[in-house]
Amino acid sequence: MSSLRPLTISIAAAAMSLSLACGGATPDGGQEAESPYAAHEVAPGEYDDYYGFSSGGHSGEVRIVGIPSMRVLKRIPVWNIDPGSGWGITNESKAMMGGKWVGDTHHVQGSYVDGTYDGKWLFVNDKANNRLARIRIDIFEVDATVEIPHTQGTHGVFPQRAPTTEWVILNSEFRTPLVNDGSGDMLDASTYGGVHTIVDAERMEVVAQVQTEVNLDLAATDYSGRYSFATSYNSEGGATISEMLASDLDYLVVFSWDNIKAALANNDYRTVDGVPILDGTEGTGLTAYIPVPKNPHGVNVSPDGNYAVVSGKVSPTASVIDITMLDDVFAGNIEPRDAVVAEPEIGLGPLHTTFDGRGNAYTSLFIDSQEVKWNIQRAIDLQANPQEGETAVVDRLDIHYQVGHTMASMAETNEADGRYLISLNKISKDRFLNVGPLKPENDQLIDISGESMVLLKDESAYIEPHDIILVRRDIIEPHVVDRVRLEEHPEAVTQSSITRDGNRVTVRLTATAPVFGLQEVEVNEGDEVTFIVTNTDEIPDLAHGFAISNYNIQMVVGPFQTKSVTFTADKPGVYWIYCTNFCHALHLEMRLRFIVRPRS
Amino acid sequence: MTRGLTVIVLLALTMPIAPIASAQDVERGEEVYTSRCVICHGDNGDGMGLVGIVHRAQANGLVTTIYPRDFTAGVFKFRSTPSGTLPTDDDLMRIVTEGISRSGMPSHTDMPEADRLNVISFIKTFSQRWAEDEPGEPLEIAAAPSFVGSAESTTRGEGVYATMQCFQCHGETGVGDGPASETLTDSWGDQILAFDFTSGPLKGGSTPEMIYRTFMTGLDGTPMPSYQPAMTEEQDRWDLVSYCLELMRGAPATQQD
Ligand SMILES: [Cu+2]
Repeated sequence: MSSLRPLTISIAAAAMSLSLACGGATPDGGQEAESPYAAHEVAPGEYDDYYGFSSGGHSGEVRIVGIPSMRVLKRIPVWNIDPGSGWGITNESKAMMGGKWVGDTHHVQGSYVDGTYDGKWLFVNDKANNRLARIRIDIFEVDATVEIPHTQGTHGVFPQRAPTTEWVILNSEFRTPLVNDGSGDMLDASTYGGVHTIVDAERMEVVAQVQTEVNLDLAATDYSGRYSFATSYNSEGGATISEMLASDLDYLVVFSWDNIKAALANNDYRTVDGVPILDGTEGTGLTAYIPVPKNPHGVNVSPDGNYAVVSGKVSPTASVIDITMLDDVFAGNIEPRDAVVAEPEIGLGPLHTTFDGRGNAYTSLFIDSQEVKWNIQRAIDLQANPQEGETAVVDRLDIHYQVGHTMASMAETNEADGRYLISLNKISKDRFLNVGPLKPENDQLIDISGESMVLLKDESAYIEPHDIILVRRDIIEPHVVDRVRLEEHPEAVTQSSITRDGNRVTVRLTATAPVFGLQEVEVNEGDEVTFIVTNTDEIPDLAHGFAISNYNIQMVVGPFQTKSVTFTADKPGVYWIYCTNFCHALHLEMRLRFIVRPRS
Repeated sequence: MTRGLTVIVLLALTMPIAPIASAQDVERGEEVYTSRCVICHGDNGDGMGLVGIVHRAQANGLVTTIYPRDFTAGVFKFRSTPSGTLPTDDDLMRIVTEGISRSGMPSHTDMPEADRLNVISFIKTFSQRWAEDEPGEPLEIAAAPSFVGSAESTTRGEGVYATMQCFQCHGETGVGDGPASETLTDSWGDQILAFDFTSGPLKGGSTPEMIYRTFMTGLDGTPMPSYQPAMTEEQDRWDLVSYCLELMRGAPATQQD
């Protein structure tokens, strides 16, 4: 994009001079101002500078968004049925979904090496059905999932940032009985707990769970592979909203990985359903409870690895926790609250904080509908030496409206570059053409390269991005392939065939533009039929579809990919199987007959 | 768009003429051909059916048009017979029945055997060569020796790969990017890609015996020659099979690390 930018500017300038020659007046008589976005525009055929990986909330998906164009480049189905690709229809995807079609993705995170993304995997949670999915970056498809037992509200998720991502941690936002099978007094909320789950990133298996008495909301890890964090907004252990807001202080819960590893090595745990459960309640040494103003939500670690910033939600402050003091907290040398080195007042409804790598923090203000930029060191200095009328706040920008998460480019790595900020706004209200009661979200692009923030662009989004990471193109692009290895699927078809075992029929079918490997497939009514379809075209972007008329089956197979589907041939007759994904000049002719002989 | 066969294989014409199928068989074969084959291989059997015009493969930035078999030349890639000879009926039946993996040639197991035999009879009418010539004697290929695939055999095979100059087309790592790879053409003058071993199964089959067969028979009409004369030692041949199998375990060409 950058190579073309001077050209874009000169074209824009030419267009402006043309409009000036024609008067250049807008209908209300004012002069047309050039959009600040013009300098960032991605021209046709040009590429974005960043991959944005966004969650899709209760749509259950993950999205790839080009930044700064804000174009949605791909929707990756995860916890949803997507007939477009066949996700939730193919045997391969069904095996990873465990019969659950509902999911709630909140946080997409990348795998790390030495504090920055390695371009290998993405991880995403399912808050609704309590799962973790892993997405392979080379093909941008889910390749593994794991159910998180003993939890509800599996919300915060964060990978280990150094030296490499061996562990991924998840928090349970809803306190529940650990063994939740109806036994005991289910109404007694004091027996509930929150769980910090450790998953092995490679094997996608639960390593252990650390049980606490409090709820655990958002998650972060440090930059040294020694600590993980969870905000807890319900230290009261309340079951109603009034009970949850009772006390003035809640916690940032810090988990010591040194002590967790020692407890695992010493077998200092009990095993429930095959999972090691470690006692992480206050005073056990596995955790430190750092008091912060009531009902905190976000926790984000600064790119230098020194500070965890926690936002108060119903307190107008952000709390800055000095990570280098945590060893002393765990050693008992200082009180947990001593690690809070600043607590600047920044605005109403602070939720999440992100960073520009130049010492500034940007916090989303839900109630104020603002992004606020503030300087971390200034906040620390003012905490130590308060000065009347002085503030750490540098700039404020109105957004539209009610921002939830906010994220700057590369901000969750030690390579934060302070170019762009995304404001994921929950409410779009009057920003777009009215499309009825359910309106799109409004994701706003903001230039943070200067002293002041500049709003660049609105982009509508379908339900409901919660969080996004912005990853430099050069980190991701080299890993992405045009086709998988053909033999990656153990059943990859290179020769079409029909085989029968009792009433089970297996049809192995190649798809090579513009023909399927067979012209006719005959089965008997009642047969259990499996189609295994391999796209043997090696040409980039040549995908084939596979739909069976009136049989409620559709999937798309990319170059060298294999997908299978199993169903009962319960309708006698002739049914056309056809390619749904436009592949060739003779795409419409790419079909075969599926003949189901009636039961005699 | 016409393609002329630039390399014509001339053989002695003294051999007895192969038995000709009945006119009825050929007629039925034409019906099958019109129903199943004409779209790719064309009315005249020259591979200029509607499909062939637009089917392309891309590699290393090259865009290559891949035509279906031109039956008028009487030249066939996948045979059990020596280089330059006609395939046997069994060879043709195998291709018609199973298709060619990773090509546009589908399987026809869904068709009665008699129809498959008849269509072969009809295909032979496209080239005079079938009337003048006899299929070659199939090469005898033993079962792969037990050492195939061993580390020692693979290492030796790497040496054979170098000696036989396979890298000229297939490249040092087998991805088809050798120094000669960008200028390869087939006998019709069309640009052709050297096989990328890391991309998966071979069109000629991927079992050790099938790979061996491809070395020995060559792929007539393409730059892939028969190595039967050059590689005389049975040991070398199977070692080269081992090395090919090793190359096929490599990373895909498009994957960068
Ligand atoms: Cu197709």
